[in-house]
Amino acid sequence: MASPAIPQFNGTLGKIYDWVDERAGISEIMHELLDEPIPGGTKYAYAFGSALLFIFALQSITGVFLAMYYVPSAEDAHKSVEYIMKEVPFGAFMRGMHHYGSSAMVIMVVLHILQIVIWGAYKQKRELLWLVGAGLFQLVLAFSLSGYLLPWDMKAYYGTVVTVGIASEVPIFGDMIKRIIIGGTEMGTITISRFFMVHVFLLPALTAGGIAAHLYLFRKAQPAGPFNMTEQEAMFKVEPFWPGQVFKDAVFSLVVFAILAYLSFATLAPLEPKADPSQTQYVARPEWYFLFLFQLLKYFPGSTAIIGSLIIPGIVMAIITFLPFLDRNPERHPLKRPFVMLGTLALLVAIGALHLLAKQDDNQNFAAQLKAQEEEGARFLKEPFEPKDTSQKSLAVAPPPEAFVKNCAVCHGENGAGGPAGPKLVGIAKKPGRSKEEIAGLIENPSAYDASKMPPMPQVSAAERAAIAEWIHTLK
Amino acid sequence: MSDLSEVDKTKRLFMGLGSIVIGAGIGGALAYPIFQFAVGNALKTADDGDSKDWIDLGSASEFEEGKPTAKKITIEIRDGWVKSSSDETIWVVKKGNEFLTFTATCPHLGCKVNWVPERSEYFCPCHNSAFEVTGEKKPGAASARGLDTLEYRVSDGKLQVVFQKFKNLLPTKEVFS
Ligand code: FES
Repeated sequence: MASPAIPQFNGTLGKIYDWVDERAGISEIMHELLDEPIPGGTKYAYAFGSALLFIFALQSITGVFLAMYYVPSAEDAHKSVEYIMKEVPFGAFMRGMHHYGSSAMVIMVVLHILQIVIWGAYKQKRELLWLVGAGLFQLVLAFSLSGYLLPWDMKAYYGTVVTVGIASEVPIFGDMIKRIIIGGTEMGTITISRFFMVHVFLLPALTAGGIAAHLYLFRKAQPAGPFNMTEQEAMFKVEPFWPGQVFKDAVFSLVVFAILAYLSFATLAPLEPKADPSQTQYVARPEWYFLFLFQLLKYFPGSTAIIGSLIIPGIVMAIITFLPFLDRNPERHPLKRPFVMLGTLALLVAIGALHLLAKQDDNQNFAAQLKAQEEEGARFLKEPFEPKDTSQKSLAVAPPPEAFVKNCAVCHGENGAGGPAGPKLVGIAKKPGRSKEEIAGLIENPSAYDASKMPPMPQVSAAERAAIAEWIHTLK
Repeated sequence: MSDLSEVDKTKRLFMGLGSIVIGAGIGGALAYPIFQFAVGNALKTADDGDSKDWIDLGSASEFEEGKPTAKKITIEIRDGWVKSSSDETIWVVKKGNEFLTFTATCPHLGCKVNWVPERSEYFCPCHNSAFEVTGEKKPGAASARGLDTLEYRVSDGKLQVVFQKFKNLLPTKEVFS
């Protein structure tokens, strides 16, 4: 088989190659894979699909290795991610690649779709190819949603609470769906375990199958070629896939890789403190690429919510999915397809506008809280790693000092677990402004430490204050 | 396509090699961090400093002369992101004023040895290693050395040991940490 894509070897190497080739049919596969004619020549505009494949491979590799340390349970998920970020060599890099890779995946899938739409490349017997592609697009979104929960930090927890809430808006079956998703009525280990299984087994398997089908159908249909040439013109300028297109794909993937690697080294992937369902100030925001959907929800109050959360996105997704059936005109030139082009533009403008409105709303109304959350996250990431202590030593908590029993237990509970009049003290040592000295100071003069509701305790001596602060710091 | 011009051939060669170089470059750039990540902290040695962690085995006077007694101890371990406790068994034999304190881990491949009173030997059922009451290996044992003794002291009438793990298979005892 004379193919310029197939290497020619001489001598012993050639004999070995021939031996393997006769049995494994390498030349045939290489010819099939690499000599594919591309009508109209190779282009960087065709590189998005390969880049998606490349990012998917990156996500798979980094994901598999992250699973070496990650544990899907409410007890350990957050700690294991923190361990990856702070203790494992290159852990922050690996998680960064996976985190930023998910954004890259969404960006790339949108670019890929736009290219196909502008080129009219879903036409001429490419309906199946497009349908499988639309399914893959939805899988990419499902990946983001299911991956979001896994670190079990504040963001993950509340993001999922909202997502699950949206699922429960489905008429009649809503509550059932919600219970099945979270695995009961309480979000916890069972929920994480479900999302984990979906994220690392189910979706990758479906995606791999989808990619295989997509590539097969693509080869079957053959590349559509430029929209501004007739088929004869395009065939006249035909170029094989190897090496021209492979090279352009490789250069493009290299750029993507360089950007991801730079981001992963330069900026830590965010991780906030562990999910805390009692936190009432937290302002939950989805990942940036879902922000427009989040904004849409705001326009449909009360019982109309389902319009913004499910009906409108559902209709748009259905139109996208069935585009080749809706647009049956064989014309491919974008300027001669005003309806689809303007529709696409309108959708992009709407998404952009919703995104900006969401940003604006946040800047006006939640700027301080969002900034505080961001700083809290950054502070948490800088904190040195403290292993979770389940040793028998740690279980034996010392009894509270007498001064605590006499003066504090009435409000804060006998073991500092909190009571009707006072907040819980367990874990308070981790909060900023609550060092031992500061707690001792707070007991002496509460209002100086932002605790104006607490009465001053002049009867507690300095030594007792220190003993109480010491003990409170052992509460975990 | 056999009638490629020379220019085309050079161009194709450049793009072909370029693709391969880029692919290899990305693979290489990923391989190093992934390798380091996968090894993780496996090769880090614990830095407890030199302070010895003496663990109580109970009152020194309660041991019977010459009779191996199993004592359970609880050690603190660091398991990834968790600090937790783990139980181990120590064999203690009193010999006059001295003590023999053995870890129950077989020096062969790490199973646990048990005291078999009928045969007066410690026995490891994994690959049939038998040890004398003094810890020496009996003839025919799969293990290359006798049972590993732990450092002990008697403090305030309490018998205490320092728990350690040792390397498998070697004819002499070497600390594994
Ligand atoms: S491990 Fe004890 S004999 Fe092999």
